[in-house]
Amino acid sequence: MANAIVMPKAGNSVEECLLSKWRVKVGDVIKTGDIICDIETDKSAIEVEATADGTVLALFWQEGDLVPVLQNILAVGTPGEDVSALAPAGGSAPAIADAVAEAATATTAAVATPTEAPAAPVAASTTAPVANAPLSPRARKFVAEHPFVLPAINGSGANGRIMEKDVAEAYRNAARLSPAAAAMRADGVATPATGTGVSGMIRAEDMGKAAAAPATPTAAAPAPAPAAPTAAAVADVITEKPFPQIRKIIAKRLHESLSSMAQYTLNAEADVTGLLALRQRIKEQGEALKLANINIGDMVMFAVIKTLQKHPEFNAEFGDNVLRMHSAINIGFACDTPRGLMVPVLHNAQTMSLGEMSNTVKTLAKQANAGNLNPDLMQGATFTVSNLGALGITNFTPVISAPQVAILGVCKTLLRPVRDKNGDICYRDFMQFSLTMNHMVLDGAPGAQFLNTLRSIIENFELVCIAG
Amino acid sequence: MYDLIVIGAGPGGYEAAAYAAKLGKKVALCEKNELGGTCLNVGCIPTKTLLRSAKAFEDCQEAKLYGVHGAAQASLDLAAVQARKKSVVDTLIKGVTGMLKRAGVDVIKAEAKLVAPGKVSADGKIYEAANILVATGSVPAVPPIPGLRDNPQVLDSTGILNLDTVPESLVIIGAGVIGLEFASFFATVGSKVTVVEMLPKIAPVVDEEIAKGLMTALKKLGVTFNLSCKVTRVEGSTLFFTDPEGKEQKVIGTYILNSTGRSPVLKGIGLEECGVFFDRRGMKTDEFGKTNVPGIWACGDVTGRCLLAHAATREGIVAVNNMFGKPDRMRYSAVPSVIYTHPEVAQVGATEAELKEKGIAYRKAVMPMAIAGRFIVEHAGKTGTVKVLVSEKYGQVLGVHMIGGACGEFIASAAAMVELELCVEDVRQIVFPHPTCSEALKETVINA
Repeated sequence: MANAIVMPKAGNSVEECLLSKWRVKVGDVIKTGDIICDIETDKSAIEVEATADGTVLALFWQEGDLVPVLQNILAVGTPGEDVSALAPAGGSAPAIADAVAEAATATTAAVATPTEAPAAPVAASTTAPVANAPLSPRARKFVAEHPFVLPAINGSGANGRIMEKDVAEAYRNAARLSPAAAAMRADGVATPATGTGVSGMIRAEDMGKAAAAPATPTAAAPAPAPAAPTAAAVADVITEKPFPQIRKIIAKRLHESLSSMAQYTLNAEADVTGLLALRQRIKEQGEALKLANINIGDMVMFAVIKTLQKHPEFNAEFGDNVLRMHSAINIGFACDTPRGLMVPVLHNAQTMSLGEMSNTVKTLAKQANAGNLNPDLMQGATFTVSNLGALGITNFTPVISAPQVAILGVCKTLLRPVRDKNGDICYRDFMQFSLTMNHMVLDGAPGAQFLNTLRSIIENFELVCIAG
Repeated sequence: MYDLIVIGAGPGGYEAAAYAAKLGKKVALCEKNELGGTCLNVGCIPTKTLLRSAKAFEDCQEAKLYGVHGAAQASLDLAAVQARKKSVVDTLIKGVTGMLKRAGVDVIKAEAKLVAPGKVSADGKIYEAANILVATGSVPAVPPIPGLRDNPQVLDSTGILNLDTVPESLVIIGAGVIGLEFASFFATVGSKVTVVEMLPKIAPVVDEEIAKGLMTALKKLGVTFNLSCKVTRVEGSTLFFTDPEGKEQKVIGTYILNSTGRSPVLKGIGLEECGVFFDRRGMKTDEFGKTNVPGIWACGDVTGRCLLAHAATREGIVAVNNMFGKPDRMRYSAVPSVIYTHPEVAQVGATEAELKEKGIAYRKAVMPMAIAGRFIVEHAGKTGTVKVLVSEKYGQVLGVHMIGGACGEFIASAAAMVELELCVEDVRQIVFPHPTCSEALKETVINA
């Protein structure tokens, strides 16, 4: 009997996931634990594992679809089985029809879903301009029925999903294809974004060109310059890289952050010579004492938690002219992962011992890197730490994650000559910090006080630990 | 300081001026003669008025075919025809004048000259403008044939429009659109018309099958054609030419019409002073109407690109759009043209010869216009032809060529097909009114 594999519920707050890439096709033989597809929530990218064995009989959704959680996404079983009963109600119909037909003939040949770009690379780059944007089935139908090139557009549906009214509006504004050009496009001839016909209509003559010449020359520009020397002998090759969903979200969030706040950065440093010595002792004797492998980053994070307890206005969110200070310290820490910037959150960090905290941070970072972090664990941060010290950065301007009010950048440790109490020159290690704040909420003096507290805690780390 | 000064108030210039003014721009229009240019004063409109009278005369002679007797004795009073022509032209000039006034265009009735980019002199004053549109048009060309110049028996298309009596005979040099329209008119109203043409065919821009049909129709009217004949000299009202065998021949006419083409008006308008590129065929413009000098634009006959009033108008609008930042570009692939002979010839898009030359695979359909019932109703004893060329692969309408009746009245729908690149199956879905001659167009397209 054929079985269905469902869209996993990738977190309590997740209602639907973007099916970003199929890793299997109809006819493939899979077993439990195989990766069958990649999905994305608005915060993370996750690999979905097969939960049943057999031959893939049908793919119910197309890449780019936004699939409600727990819906059937794939049917697996023995070739020839009828899987129509497993098809989800909201699935993208063409894919189902194709997949079911394919399964019925029990062939193992790959079936291309209708949205899959044609094999020719030139056609692929032009006929699938919205490969990454989720289209509603009705929107997809509209696009198929109207002769035009859908430009990259923002959807008005949930999570940016592109609805029929969005593509209808784009159709009204977009360059349309003449019937002759549409026939050529159906034959796989590359379609430019704009044309030279009536109101920019793409004409047969324009087809096959990467892009039409601009329709509007600037009035002041001279007509065909006689024998203008060619600017460069080396051809400029432009490689376009469409943003995946997760990058679009990062871009949107960061832009919103900078456009909605008065962000500024204070730089300071702290003597970490003692901290480094302590870290060395933990490394040497930690195993005997059953101490976790605590590193400098963990210690700094611990110091930040202690600092936030003394400066509650930094552990806060701001909006509608109200500052909401949290008793729980939920620290987000930025991770550079293969899927892009991710920020796992260390919830209730004020309750953790240094060892607990170190273990939790490592677990979260590992999951973020692997792409299987529960999206719930990327929500609710009240303050964020971003560490670029390992990458050699001595100071930078971290960008606040709205609606938080500050973010601490942890930078490289520099060796500096200082005068000791006897007046002799000695060398000490100084870690650099860059604190970005929302000046709408936090002025320079409280920022400096925060950094002074942090420095004091770091420079007296053992005493702070002893004090609990 | 104007946003735009237009030099020349023909259909290129005055439409552009009015359009720019309607966009809210400050516009001046300079014209040394009457508003309306060649088209309105000595071109399209007066010739069509004459041809309408010829049609009325022809209708009288053919009235018996429709059961109306007694009309065959009708006569044509060319002086009265001319009076009507003047009245039509005057009415239209008033219309243009009023239209420009309502649009808020400053009309400067003086000869204008470019003095520098952004500066125009007219009426002893210097006017400044961000943009200057040169639309000075064209004049009848005078080829270097001995005896053609300063000969009172030789008329050009302007001069012949002032005849008050129908000449007994007329010799026409050149079988282009202008020569053929006058041949049609004068042959209909009773002149013995002889056409001398250097090329082996008439109407070289027309699809060959259609041109042959036109020649047959004109021959029926009594027009004599001497093709592949080179005019060598003119003495008084005698025209000498070399026939295809190389023998010298002569033909005598009450008048000789020089209709060998038109030359752009390029001299004395300051192009050299401003460094604007031009050659003897016209000013050099791109598809946006720009010349090589920023701020100087051109449209119409002066560019030598497409000597048709409606092409000039479109070029002027394109130039205005581009000067004020609205994307637009000129396309010549779907500019229709009409020859107002009886019968009319109308065409749009590529001719069969052009497709062959470009190596474009095509299918064609040629059908008699009489497949449309209305054609038989309206044109007793006449014939007509529709020829449609479509692309082999997609059935895209590439060219439509027609002769018969008043086919110029529905070539616009064919122009839309070509401009919008409709394919045969698209045209099948378009409803044409019944009964009209235009049904022959649809029928031919869907048979292509």
